[in-house]
Amino acid sequence: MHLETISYHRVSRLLILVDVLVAIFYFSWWVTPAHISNLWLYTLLFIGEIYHVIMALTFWFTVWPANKITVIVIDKIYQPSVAVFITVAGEPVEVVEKTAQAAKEMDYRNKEIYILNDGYVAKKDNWQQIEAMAKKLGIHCITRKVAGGAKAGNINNALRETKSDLVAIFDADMVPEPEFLVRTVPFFKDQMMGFVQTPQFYVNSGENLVTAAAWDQQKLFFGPIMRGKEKSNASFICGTNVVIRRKALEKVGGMEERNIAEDFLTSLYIHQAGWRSRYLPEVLAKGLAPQDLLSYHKQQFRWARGSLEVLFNQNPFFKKGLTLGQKVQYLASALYYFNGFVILIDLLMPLLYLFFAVQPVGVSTTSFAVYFLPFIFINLYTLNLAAGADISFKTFSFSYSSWYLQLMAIFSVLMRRTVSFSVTPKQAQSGNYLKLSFPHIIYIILVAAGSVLAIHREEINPSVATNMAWALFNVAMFMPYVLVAANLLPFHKANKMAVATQANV
Amino acid sequence: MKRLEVFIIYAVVIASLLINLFYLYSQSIRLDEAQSIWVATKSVPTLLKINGQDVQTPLYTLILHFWMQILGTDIVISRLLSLIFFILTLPFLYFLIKRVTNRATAILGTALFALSPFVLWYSQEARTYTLLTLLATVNHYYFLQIVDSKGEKGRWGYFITGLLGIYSHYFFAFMLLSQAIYLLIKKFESSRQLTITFILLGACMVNLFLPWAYYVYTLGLAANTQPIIPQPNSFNLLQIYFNFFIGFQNQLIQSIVISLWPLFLMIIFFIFTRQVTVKLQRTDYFVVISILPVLLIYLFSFFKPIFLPRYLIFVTPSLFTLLAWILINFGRQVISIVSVVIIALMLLSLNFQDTSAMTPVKESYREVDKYLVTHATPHDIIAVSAPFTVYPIEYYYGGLARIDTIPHWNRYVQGPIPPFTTNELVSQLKDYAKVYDNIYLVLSYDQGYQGKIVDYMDHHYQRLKSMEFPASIDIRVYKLRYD
Repeated sequence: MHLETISYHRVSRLLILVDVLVAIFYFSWWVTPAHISNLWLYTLLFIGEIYHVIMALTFWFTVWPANKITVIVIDKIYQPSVAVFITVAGEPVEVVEKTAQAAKEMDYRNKEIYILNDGYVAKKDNWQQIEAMAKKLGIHCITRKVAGGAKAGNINNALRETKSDLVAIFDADMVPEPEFLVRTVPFFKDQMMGFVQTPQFYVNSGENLVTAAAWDQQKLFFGPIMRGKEKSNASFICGTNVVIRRKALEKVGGMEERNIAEDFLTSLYIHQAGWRSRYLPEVLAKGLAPQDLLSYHKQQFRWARGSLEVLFNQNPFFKKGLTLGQKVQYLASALYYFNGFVILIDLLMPLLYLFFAVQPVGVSTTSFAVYFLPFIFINLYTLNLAAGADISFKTFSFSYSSWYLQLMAIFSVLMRRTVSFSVTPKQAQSGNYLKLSFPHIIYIILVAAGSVLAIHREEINPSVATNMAWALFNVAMFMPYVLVAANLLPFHKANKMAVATQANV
Repeated sequence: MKRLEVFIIYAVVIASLLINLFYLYSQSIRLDEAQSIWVATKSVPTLLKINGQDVQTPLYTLILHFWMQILGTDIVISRLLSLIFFILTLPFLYFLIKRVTNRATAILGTALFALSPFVLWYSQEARTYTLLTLLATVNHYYFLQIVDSKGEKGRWGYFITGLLGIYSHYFFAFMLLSQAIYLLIKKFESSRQLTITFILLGACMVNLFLPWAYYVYTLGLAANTQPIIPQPNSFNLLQIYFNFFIGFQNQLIQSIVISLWPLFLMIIFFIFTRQVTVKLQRTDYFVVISILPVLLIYLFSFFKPIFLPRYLIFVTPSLFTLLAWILINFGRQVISIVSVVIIALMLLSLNFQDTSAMTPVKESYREVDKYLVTHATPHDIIAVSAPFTVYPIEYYYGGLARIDTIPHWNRYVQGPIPPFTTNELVSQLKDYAKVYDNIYLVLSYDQGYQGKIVDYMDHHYQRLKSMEFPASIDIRVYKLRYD
């Protein structure tokens, strides 16, 4: 039996200590009043830099090496009852069938398979076909007739109708390996084990640039980040490929229905109640990544919105029952989606100079470079090292380009707008997604216009050159995203890149 | 790589050598070169003494001494020695890069190095720098051999090049120190034998360098014989890498290109996230050795300013190894296009550097001397300041006017250059006025008192003429008396 493991590399404590020293050195530049030119702009940038440093510190905290090693002792006698939930809301029957069949074939006797069919309440055409398919396979199908609570509501409904000790949850497209339960269930011998999460592997990462970028981001998350979180007993439920102790789930009132990132908040409650959790980095189920930009966009927005809602309404830092490590980890995960705001600041600064000749900083750009470059390089090095030297440019590009959807998420949380849960489509959606990159295209146009204006106003000088360079930096970061949106990146090229990535995995 | 590509690269290297040979002759002697030649013409004990006093290690001057004994003291002959060191570096660099990557990368890296305007500038200069580069390249090779064989192989090569390295320039010690830091970080590869080997080699090198250090100590330092080096700033730190790749360009171009650093960051960012197809063994070593010595010297310069690009030339072999490796990891088409663009940029920079009057490191002492030969008569005196710039002036000058320095300095007497005082200047000028009609004041390498000299002269004597030569060499002619 050979199971893939998400790549990860142990980062030495010495490197992290050097990281911290470099961060202090970098931060010292920002707290020097002599560097201020325009106080307002400086303050904005300073806030952004505080954010960057906090995120860097939390990352280093996450990857700080621990001595704890996950050892699984396979015990075939220990077989508590498991209800396997496959959540469905209109996904193609053949996709669900494959998952159900694989669930049935899992090497574990004491299990019952349930399809949690939400097709009826989600007004999907194929809900009856799903029921027929379940019957054909000889598994249970629970079709809700009363809507509410989206995916979380669907799971809670099934919880009420079943009685197993443990529940395993899979998305409709996540095909479990036969070993899934025998590898995860033994952890529950520990009576305080609340849940065991495994990675969300995308089998279609080689399909196009979107799936490749989505998988690259997942790799980073399920590689160093989740392993690091486990160290603080803070790995969280990721909606699928997870086994949860029913008692723990019931104790916190089931899956949280009021938040679209129900899994994240439920994990927090479970930890708050004192349960333990484990993250097993083995690929025990394989599913589908969002296959087009719109699906990717929706998925990212849902995660951003859910996490930010937690931050604003259920701030982990003020939650009783969590350890400091858990608070830091939950906060770090939620804070990530503030990136959009910080990137917006970084986008605006060069434009403000190019158009209006105002700048936050009043000293030579090279003095900043001397402080900034070591910080960025050591950060990148540590990140790359932790991720097993498997970080791609498109990962950064897609994360960077998601700034505006993160901003929209911040806005919608602040405005208390209601957002419905939408399932990530399991098939490529047709259509032109150029509109998703309008903010980026507008930025590119503004950079071009601003550059012409600045050169006309001042001719080429070091200030104009630096600001143009920063603006072009941003433009280059957007390019893969914009090209995908505009269908301009040749598919075969994207495919080749993606296949290369997959081969590495 | 195809045969044609290999042919093109070799053709480029040969072209670079031809360019080199052309500029070898056409460039004026520079201050440092004149000093090298002057010292190398002395007897070995005197040569050692002068080197010791000037805080210079003697290996290069010793080699130059014997070289000139055989071939003569012409500047082109002296420069030829540096060119030979440069040419010798190429095959060693090729073998170094081939050892850690593959043949294609080795060819590309060697070609890039061979075309670097910075390296070429010093391959045309009668100074120690190409010897330093050669020793650094060979030293890297043996260092990696020792580390890879856990101390079994390459000990002699490493020891000899290390020792010769510190005898060719004190700054070589920063490279050895960086290697030691690298090994410490790597915990000596957990090998006891490697640890012992390096400790023993280090101890032997220190022991064999101690006699020279003691000799220098007993001589005392000849203060004021070296140009004042300003304390470096952040700009200089970035500028140095800019220099390594495109040599010395005028200030405005340098400032603008350096200001584009976020774009270079972007490129590095892009490269960093690429899938590596060609592996560079011990990438971390090449990164450390390309950055750490520069940082160490930069930091050290806050105590005593010593931060000059040429002193750091030993970083270039590892830097070009990294550059070649980065390029080779792109697709075939990209390699061809980017390599052609980089090579074209380097050749352009080289041409601009060697022909432009705005090149900051250019010193037109030959043109200065031509002017002096034509205009200064035996009734005039030529006064040179800073005093040590008398070497290049003397080298070319074939006229009849007497040459003196301000402040007056007797090079044949042990000890430092006397400090400048206005009283001494006044007395010196009074003495000149007794004998000479006009004074040709040649000013370069300001040591902090040229303003005072000019100020005094402008207020007390009639200025007849003033001329400027690249880079920052002024000639001012004053009337000393009217009888």
